[in-house]
Amino acid sequence: MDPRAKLLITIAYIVMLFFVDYFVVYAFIAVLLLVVIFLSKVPLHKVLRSIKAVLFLLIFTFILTIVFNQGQGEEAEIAKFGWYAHWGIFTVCGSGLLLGGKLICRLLLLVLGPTMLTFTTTPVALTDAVEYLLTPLKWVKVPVHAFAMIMSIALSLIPGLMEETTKIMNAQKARGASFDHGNIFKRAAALLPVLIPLFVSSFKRSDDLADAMDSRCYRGAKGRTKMKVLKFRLIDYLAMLLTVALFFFILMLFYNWWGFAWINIILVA
Amino acid sequence: MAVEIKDLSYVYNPGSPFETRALDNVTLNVDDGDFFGIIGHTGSGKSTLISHLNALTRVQKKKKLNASAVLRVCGIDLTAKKPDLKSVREKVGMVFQYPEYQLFADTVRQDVAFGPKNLKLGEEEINKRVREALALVGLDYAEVSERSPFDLSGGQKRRVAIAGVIAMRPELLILDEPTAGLDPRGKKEILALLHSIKRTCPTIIMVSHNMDEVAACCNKVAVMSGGKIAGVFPPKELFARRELISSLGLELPTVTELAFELAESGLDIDPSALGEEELTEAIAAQFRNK
Repeated sequence: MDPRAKLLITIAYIVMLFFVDYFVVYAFIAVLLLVVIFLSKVPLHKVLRSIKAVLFLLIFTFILTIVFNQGQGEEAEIAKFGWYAHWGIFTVCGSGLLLGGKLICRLLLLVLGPTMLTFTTTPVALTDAVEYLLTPLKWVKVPVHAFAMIMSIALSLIPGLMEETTKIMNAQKARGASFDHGNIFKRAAALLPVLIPLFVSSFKRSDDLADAMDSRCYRGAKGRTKMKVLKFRLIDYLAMLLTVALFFFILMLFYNWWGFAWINIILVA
Repeated sequence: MAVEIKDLSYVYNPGSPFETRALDNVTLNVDDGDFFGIIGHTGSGKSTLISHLNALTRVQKKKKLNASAVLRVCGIDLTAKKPDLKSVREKVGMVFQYPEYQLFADTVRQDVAFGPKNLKLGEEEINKRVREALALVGLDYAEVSERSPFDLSGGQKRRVAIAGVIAMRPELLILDEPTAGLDPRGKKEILALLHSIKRTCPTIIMVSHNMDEVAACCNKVAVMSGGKIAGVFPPKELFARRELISSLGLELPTVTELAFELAESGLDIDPSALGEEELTEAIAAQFRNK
């Protein structure tokens, strides 16, 4: 698929999630996401691993919502769910649990969707897409191409920088430096002998890169052609159309402009 | 014995499709006072081996791997669970490839003092060692000590970096390609410097793939290939084994190569002769006899 289409769909997906307020719809979106994962042939466990990073956040928000949400007051809650518990400022109630559950669903889907984007798209393709989509800013003289270039260079240099860091850390360790002793200030100070050489070599590297770009006649966006021209294909239009339809459907569930009775039936079920 | 290695193995990315055996049952001994050379092609395991020697890479212990391995450096057992890292780093000095990238301080003096400071030495002792180390690498203390290391030339930077390691007065000095990226003159200077360092630091291990350097400095050479030690020889003996060297994709020292070709074309000289002077002498002797 075209990275631009993927990027647009992901943005729409994220916005969409904020209009969802019912478990049924979350489940529906989750199924769609599973289909996408299956179609992309990315192993499921790899996708799920990305949750690990936000696991703490998930649990934290869940507990906070449960504990501090007081629902609609004691009487209304008991009337609705039949129970209500509170200790001092902490309250656990049915509405709180529901809200916490919804939050978790929303956060999970929020993380998983964009993960699929990064798993299936190279950083270079992504920067190309960003550059294209920001074209309108060019009309107000924002150097979009330069930003995209900076982004892609930065992304491509990260692995090299990591390698360099280990090398320098090893060299300083061999000279008796230790990075895992003492309090936080001592540790920060111990990093200085790593950071300075790292900066020096980064500056040198960027100088070299600038020279290399100059000698290949790089002069910014002006007159630069692309080797791989981005092209929307049928599947991209199809996917975007589906997304628009889904977005519309969810907005309709949320606002129910025309007062359809079947919407209430779905949502209660 | 400075270094005692027995049956040491190391596997990168164990259990993954990228599993590679960097060291394969390496057994190697380095005696006190050796100037030991390690040669081998890129990826033959040289770097992995030497990073074991000051515990930057720890001995892998997994299942049967390294069950009977021995790794003893300057009397410290590095197969132990928690070896005394501080004294290892104190006794084993390590000069990495392109050591000038480790320079960081405002002045040359401070940079060279970094190692001794980490050893928690007194001010006076540190100053003494800095002077001594800078003198050993052939730099003038008065001239460079207060300059920024980043203002020096490439060769000078490298010397400062080497001085920073020598200032810790290691018992064993390990150098990884100390002449890489220098011009011929810079190379010669560094090699000459190694000879003078040898007087203060008892044992030196040098990793190189330049045969000329190994021939000029070392008294013993280990040849590595595919994570294994293909043999340990005195340089003279090693260079007589032309087939072994070429089968490992290495090159003979230029002098030896010339001697071999002369011998093949009928001159009665010993092809394993080392050094330009030795060779010219041998050739001259040939013609004198005629």
